[in-house]
Amino acid sequence: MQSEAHNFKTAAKGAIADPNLQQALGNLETGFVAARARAAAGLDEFEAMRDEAVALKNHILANLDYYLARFEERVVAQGGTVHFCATAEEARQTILGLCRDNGARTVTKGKSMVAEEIALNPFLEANGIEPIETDLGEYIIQLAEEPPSHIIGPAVHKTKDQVSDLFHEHHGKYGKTERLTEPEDLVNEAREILRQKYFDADVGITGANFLIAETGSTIIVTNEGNGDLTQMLTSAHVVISSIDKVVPTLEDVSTILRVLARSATGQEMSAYTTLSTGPKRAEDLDGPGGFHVVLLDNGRSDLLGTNKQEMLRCIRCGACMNHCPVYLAVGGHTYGWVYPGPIGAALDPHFLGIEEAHHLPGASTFCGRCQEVCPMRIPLPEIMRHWREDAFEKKVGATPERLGIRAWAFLARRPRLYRLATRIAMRLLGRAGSVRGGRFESLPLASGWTRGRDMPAPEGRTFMDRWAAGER
Amino acid sequence: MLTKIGNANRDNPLRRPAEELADRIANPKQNLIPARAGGPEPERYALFLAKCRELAVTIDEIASDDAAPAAIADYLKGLNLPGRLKLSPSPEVTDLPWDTAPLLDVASGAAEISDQTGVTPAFAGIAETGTLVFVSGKETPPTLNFVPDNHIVVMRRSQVVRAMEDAFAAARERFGAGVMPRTLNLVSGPSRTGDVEQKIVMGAHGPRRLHIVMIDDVDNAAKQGD
Amino acid sequence: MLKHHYPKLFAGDADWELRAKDLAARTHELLSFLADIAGVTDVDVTWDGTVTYHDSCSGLRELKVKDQPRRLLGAVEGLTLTELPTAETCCGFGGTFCIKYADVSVEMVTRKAEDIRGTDADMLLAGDMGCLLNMAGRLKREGSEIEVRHVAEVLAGMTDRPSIGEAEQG
Repeated sequence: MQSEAHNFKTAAKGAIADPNLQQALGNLETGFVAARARAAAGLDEFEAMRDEAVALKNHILANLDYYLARFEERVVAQGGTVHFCATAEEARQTILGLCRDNGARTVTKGKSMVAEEIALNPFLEANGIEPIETDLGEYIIQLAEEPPSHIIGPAVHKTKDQVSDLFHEHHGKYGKTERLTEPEDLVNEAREILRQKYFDADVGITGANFLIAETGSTIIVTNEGNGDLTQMLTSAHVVISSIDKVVPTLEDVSTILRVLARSATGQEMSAYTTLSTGPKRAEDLDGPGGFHVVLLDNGRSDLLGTNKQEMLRCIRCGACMNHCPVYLAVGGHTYGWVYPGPIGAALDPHFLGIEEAHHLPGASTFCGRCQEVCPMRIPLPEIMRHWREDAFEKKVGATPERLGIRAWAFLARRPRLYRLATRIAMRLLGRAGSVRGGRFESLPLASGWTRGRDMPAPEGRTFMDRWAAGER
Repeated sequence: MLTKIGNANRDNPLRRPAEELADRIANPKQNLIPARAGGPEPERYALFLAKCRELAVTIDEIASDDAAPAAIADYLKGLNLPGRLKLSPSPEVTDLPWDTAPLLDVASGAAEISDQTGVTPAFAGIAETGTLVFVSGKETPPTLNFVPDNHIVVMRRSQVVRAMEDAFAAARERFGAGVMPRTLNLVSGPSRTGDVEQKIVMGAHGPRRLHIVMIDDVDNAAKQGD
Repeated sequence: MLKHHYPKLFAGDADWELRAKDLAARTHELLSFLADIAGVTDVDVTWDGTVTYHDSCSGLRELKVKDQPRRLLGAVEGLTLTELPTAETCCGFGGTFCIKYADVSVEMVTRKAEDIRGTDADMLLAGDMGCLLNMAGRLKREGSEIEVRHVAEVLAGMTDRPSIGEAEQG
C-alpha cells in the first residue's frame, strides 16, 4: 500500500476528532486489555514461557538459514513447493503466476499481513483476478475499501452501525435488502454470502503464523474458520508468509502458541490452529491439489546483526497496540502503513525509510507498556529510540526541534551556563506566573502545550539555588 | 537468500553447527508444559470437560458405542435440528449401530455445502485447553470439521491427553518423523468472531455448534489414579 | 535516565562508563529510597481527605516503583487512597512528545483527567514532575478544583504550600 506515514500529524488530528473512531477504540481498549490481563494471570507459567519463547526465537534467528532450508526440504518431500522471494514485486509475480497456472478468476483469502505488505489485492485486481477476503474484519474493510487498522482485528476502527451501513449498501445484489443492526445478524449475513464463494473460488490464499522446519507444515491461527475453508475447497493452497516465521519443532511451536493467543485476544487457544502440509494425498477425499509457500524477505534479513534485529522476534499478536495509549488515541490508520502501533513504529521505518516514517518512532511517550506486554519481550521503545537517532543523524525532521536539541546539548555540556540559564528562566517564569494565578494559559514556543492545557508556573527558584541557600 | 542470512549471522554467538540443529529436530525436547495439565487420569479428564465447557462445547458422556446413535438423535431433537447426518467414512463412526436410531438419515463422505451436521472421530483431546485434534486422511475428510453448521465428534475418554505436545508425539508415532497428513486441526470450541465491536459471536464461518459424544472406555482402576 | 540510560549511553567509553555506572548505583528515586533504602514506615503526618495516585511510566516500568508510594501514603493518618483504574496508563507527557505531538498528547491527558475526576478524589498525587505538570495543566484548564501534588509534599506535611498550578494565597 502507498505509505501515508509522513502525514501522521494531520491524520492524528482527524482521528481524534472522529467520534466513530473514538467510540470503536474505546471498545478495543476495554475488551483486549482486560482479556489479556486475565489470561496472563490464569497461567502460572506465563512469564517463564515468555522467557522460553524469547530464547527460542533468538536461537532461531541465529540459525535462520538452516531452519529455512530444512523447512523447504520437508515441504518438497511432501509434494509442495517453496518460493523464496527477496522483494514484494517478486512475491506478487510469483503469486500471480500460481493463480494463472490454476486458471484462477477468483481467489479466496484468509487474513495475511504479509499480503497487505506486498499490496496483493490491488495487484491481483489489476490483473483480472478477484480476491475475496473471508476473515470477517478483512471482508468489512474490503467493502469499505480501506486498509486494516489493526494486525489482528482489521476492522476494529468500525462501529457496528458503520458495518450495518456497509452491508446494507453492498449486500443488496445478493437479495439481502433488510438493514441489520445486531452483530449476530451481521455476522450471519456475511457467513451466508461467503459460503458459496469458498466453493466457487479457484485458489485459496492464506498467511501463516508459523512454518515448522521439522515437518514442512505451515500454521494458521484463527477464530472464524475462514482460513480453513479457504484452503481446503480450492484447487491450490498458496501460503504467503515471511522468513521470520520458521520454528524448529512442534514442541517449540507449542510454547509460542501458549503465549500468542493469551497476548492477542486473551484466549488460551484460538478456536482453530491448523497445520497444513503439502497438497491433498492421492487417497484423500478433499483438500487442495497444490501447495505453494511463498516466503518473503523484503529486507527482513537486513535486520539481522543490527540493533533492530529483535524486531524479528515479533509474532504479530497485536498486544503492543492494544496497550498503546497513542494507538488508542489515534487508531491504526493514522500510522499510514501496514503495521500500526508500537510494532509499526519500530518496523515501518525499515520498510519505508526513516525520511518517510520518522513520525512513527517519534510519536511515542516511551511509556514502555508495549514492551511490558510483548510476549517476545521486544524492547520496542529502545528500537524506536534507535530510529530517532538515525533520524537525527540523517537530519530528518523539523528544523526548530533539531536546533532545540543542539542548543540543549550545548548548555548541558557547560554546567555553570546551564545553571545560570535555568535560574534566569525560573525567576522570570516564577515572577510572571505569580501574577497569573500560578499558571499560564499561553506561552511563546509552547503553543502545543497550552492549546489544550495550562502550564503550571514554577516557584521561581531552582533546586540548586535552594540547596545552596541551605534549605534542607 | 539463505547464504545472505548465513553471512549476516556469522558472528552471532547463538549460531550452532548443522549437526546440532539436525539433532535438535530429530530428538525434539519438550519445553515447559503447564503443571495444571499433568494430573492423573480422572483429574486430566475433568480438566478436559471443564475447559471444553468454558469454550461453549457441549458434551454427552455415554457408557458404550451402542448408545452413540441414540445420543446423537436426542441431541439433534433437543435443538430441533433435522436428522440428516454426514459421517466421516471411518469405521470409528460408520460402524456405530445406526439402525438403533431409525429417525437418523446417514450418509458418509466429504462435506458438501448442503450438509448441516457432520459426525467425525477425533485423533485426540487435549486436557490443558479443551482442544480437539483432527487429522486428515481418506477416512477423515477435514471439510466435515468446517462446512456443516453442527459438528458432532464421537471420541473415547482414553483419547484425552495432557497437552499439545502429547498429541504431536502421537502424530509423529502415527505418521513418522518429519511427516504430517495434509491437515492437522487443533479445534478449541466452535467458530467465533469478535470483528464487530469486539462482541463475540459464535458461528462466523465454521461450525456454530461443537458437540462431543464421549464414550467411556476407561476402566475403574485407571479412574482411581493413573 | 540516570539509572538505566546513562550506563547504556556511555557504554564502551572506558572512563565515562564506570562513572555512569557509579552514578547509577548511587541514584535513587525518592519514594523507593524512602521505602526500600531508608526503611521509612512511620511518617508522623496527618492529612484528611481522599487522594488518587498516578504511576508514572518510567517510575513504574524502569524503576519498579509501584508499591512504595502506596505503603508510604498508607502511613499518613486520615488519608484515603482511591485507586485510579487507569493508574498505569501514560498521561501523555513523554518529554518533547507533548510539544511535538501536542494533539495526541492533549487527547491522552484529557482522558487521564476524566479518569481522575471519576475517582472523586480531592487530590492527585504522583512521583514524577513531568506527569504532574501535564495532569495539573489539564485539570486547571478544565477548571478542576482537584489539587495536584508530588507525594513528597504530603509526606513532608507541606500541603499548606500552593499546589502545582496554583499561586501563593494573598
